[in-house]
Amino acid sequence: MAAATPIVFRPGATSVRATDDENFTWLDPLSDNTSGVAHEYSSPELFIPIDEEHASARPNSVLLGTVADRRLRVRKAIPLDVSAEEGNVIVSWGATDEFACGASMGDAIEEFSKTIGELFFDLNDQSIPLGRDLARVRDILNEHIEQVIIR
Amino acid sequence: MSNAPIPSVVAMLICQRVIVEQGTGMKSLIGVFENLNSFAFPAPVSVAVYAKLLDAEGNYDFLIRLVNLRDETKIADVEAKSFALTSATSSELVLNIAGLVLPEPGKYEFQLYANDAYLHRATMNAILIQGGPPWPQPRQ
Repeated sequence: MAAATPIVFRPGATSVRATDDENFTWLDPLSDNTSGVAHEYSSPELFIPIDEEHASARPNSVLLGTVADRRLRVRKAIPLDVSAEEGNVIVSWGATDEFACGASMGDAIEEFSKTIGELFFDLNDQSIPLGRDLARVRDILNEHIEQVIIR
Repeated sequence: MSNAPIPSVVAMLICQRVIVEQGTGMKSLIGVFENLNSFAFPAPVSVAVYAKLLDAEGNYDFLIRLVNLRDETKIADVEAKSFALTSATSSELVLNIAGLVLPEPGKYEFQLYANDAYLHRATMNAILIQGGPPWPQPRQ
């Protein structure tokens, strides 16, 4: 029988090498070994165009394809409006009047996807009677999100 | 919009390099990191992005977007078009990027899209470090 113990590591750190000297030797500042080559890099595979103008990466709308709950998956992408107000980014889903905000679009989407996941389970709880508006929201949610069958 | 189902991302990691072994197709993620230290900016970097996808079935256009989170400006877009995937197995997206220049210290985010739908993100911190050994170090 095999046994294993999970180990949790702290996040790693990497460093940038100088590019003007093809033959330089990079010694790891944290290493006691001061005579060996610490790092070698193989040739790159893909060079990508850099956006020199640094256009905004925050669109006015985004299709959400994820829900922050492993028991759920997005069946049909959720259309979100993206706006900024007082230094916060707000994402909103007009059809359900749900919204969330964050410091960036990614933060706002993460918050929204948590909210929408909780709402899905709350509204699909058969023991809770729903009014007409909430039943409508539930139907919209069920059109876009489905529960994953965990095997 | 494509009719292909939206895949679920179960892992997305940033590292120095992803090596794909020929034959077995096994991936080795080399140097998984969160903080990227540099003595100067703009900083030329080589990074790799790995993502594991489930429930992908059909044709997908993928987009990986690197965003500077200080002002949410776009640094670069990398597109991978018309990938035919099957849900019989999970799918792994591997991207090795070289020649990337980070303009300033701060927090950066890789955003993953499939068929225009936002799927996941992974962030990293670019840190300006002071002092340290001469750069590059003289050869001995």
